Amino acid sequence: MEKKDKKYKRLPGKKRKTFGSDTLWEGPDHLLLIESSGMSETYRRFYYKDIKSILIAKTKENFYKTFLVLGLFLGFTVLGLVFWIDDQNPASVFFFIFSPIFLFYFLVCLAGGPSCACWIVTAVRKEKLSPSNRLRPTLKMMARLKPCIEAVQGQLDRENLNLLFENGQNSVSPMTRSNLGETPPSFEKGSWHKALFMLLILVGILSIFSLFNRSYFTLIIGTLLFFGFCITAVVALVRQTGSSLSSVIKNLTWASLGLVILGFIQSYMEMIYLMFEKGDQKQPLMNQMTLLKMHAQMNPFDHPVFLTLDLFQTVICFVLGIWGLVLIRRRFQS
Amino acid sequence: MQCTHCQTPVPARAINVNALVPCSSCKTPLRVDLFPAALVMDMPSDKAEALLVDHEAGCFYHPGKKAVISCDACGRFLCALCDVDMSGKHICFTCLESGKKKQKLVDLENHRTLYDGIAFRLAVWPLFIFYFTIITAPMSLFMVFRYWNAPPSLVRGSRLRLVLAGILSSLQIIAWSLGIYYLVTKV
Repeated sequence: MEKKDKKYKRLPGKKRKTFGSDTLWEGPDHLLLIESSGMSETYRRFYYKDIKSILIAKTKENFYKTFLVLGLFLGFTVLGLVFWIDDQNPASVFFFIFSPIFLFYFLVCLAGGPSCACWIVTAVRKEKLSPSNRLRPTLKMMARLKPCIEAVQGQLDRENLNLLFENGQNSVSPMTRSNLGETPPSFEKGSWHKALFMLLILVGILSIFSLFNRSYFTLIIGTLLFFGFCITAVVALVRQTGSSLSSVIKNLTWASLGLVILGFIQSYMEMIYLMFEKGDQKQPLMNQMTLLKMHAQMNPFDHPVFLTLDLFQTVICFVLGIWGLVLIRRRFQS
Repeated sequence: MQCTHCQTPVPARAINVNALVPCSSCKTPLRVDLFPAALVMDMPSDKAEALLVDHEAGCFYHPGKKAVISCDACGRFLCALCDVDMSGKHICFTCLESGKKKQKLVDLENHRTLYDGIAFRLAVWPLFIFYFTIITAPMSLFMVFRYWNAPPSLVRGSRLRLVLAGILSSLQIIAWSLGIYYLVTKV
């Protein structure tokens, strides 16, 4: 019975997950999406006769990911070399362990080719096909899937298509109909995001400055700037919810929030370190001002871990800030 | 049809061209394939016709309605409303329900537990910390025998993973038995 039921052919495209993967299969009268967890499988069927349209959009996700991984690889390699050349510091081992991992991941990203997103639209739903996340396999998948759908539905020729658009039916397109009930995205100008990305660059510049010339003054300015940055990040996140801002800008804003959290954790770690390292019997209870003063006097070059975190944050500040400003500028222009 | 990035309507000239075309607004490369089902704006709804004359066959579930087809599973007469078309077969909703419960209709299944995968993982993963195999190997072997006839994945019909799990777990049990025997006899 099972042999008889073995009627599916694997389609190109796969989304790997921690456990299992998502795959697409070509059936006799339907497309089968399998979401596997390794222990069980969930099936979703899209019958050829019900498919109204398929939409593929090339995305820059893989480009950014490759760029980021390359940056991490280069950063870790350079830091590893710096620590090794300096005084064969054991911290270099940490960097040399991670840099080949980033190199491997970079090669994987490079070999995968450009990324994309694919949606399938039926009368009642618009579903994103998770296995179709790379352009090359998705186009191959379409080359096999389209004849199957056309064998059931026939071809939509140019005349019919023009007729569909001339009749004004495109104003209530199938996709719009399937999205009925959803709140349309609100228009967001992006001023808060622009401010956020500018603040990020300022934080980055101040971080570089304070690496070489750390003082009480720069620390206070940095702290104030950082709090301003936190508030702007929160406001930007609130304003981008349900807005028409591109997903990349939204993700950059979330990444900025991640940076805020990382900054807080680092400050906390530094304070704890100072309390244990500098605290003595004469001054067992340190107040906040004393801690700040000690923090200002701390030379980051004496502490490889803090120096690495500082450098990492600075690089991320510049990458996110410049990238975000470019995207916001493009948005204003368009 | 709208651009997924900026929501700008995609013009007709960019549809069904079998290539990526940049969006007129945000320049995101898009490919849109539209099919004839898009022309059907409303879902077709079959209406069951009422019986015109007394000797006409009526629906089993709606005696007042005209039968148009018989159920491929139970043979009951069905009206247009009760007829469920599934992969070319016409089935009544009672057979549909029982078929789903008994997992006889493969097209209705939306979930399957992969016992072969579980057994295989139980046999392989604990090898990295081999002490665990004293517990996991019998578990894996039990699953092999218990679920030998359980339906595997919908798309992979073979029992290869069950066989491998059986072999590996048997070897582990044999190794443990020999080890214990050696320890007992030596002491």
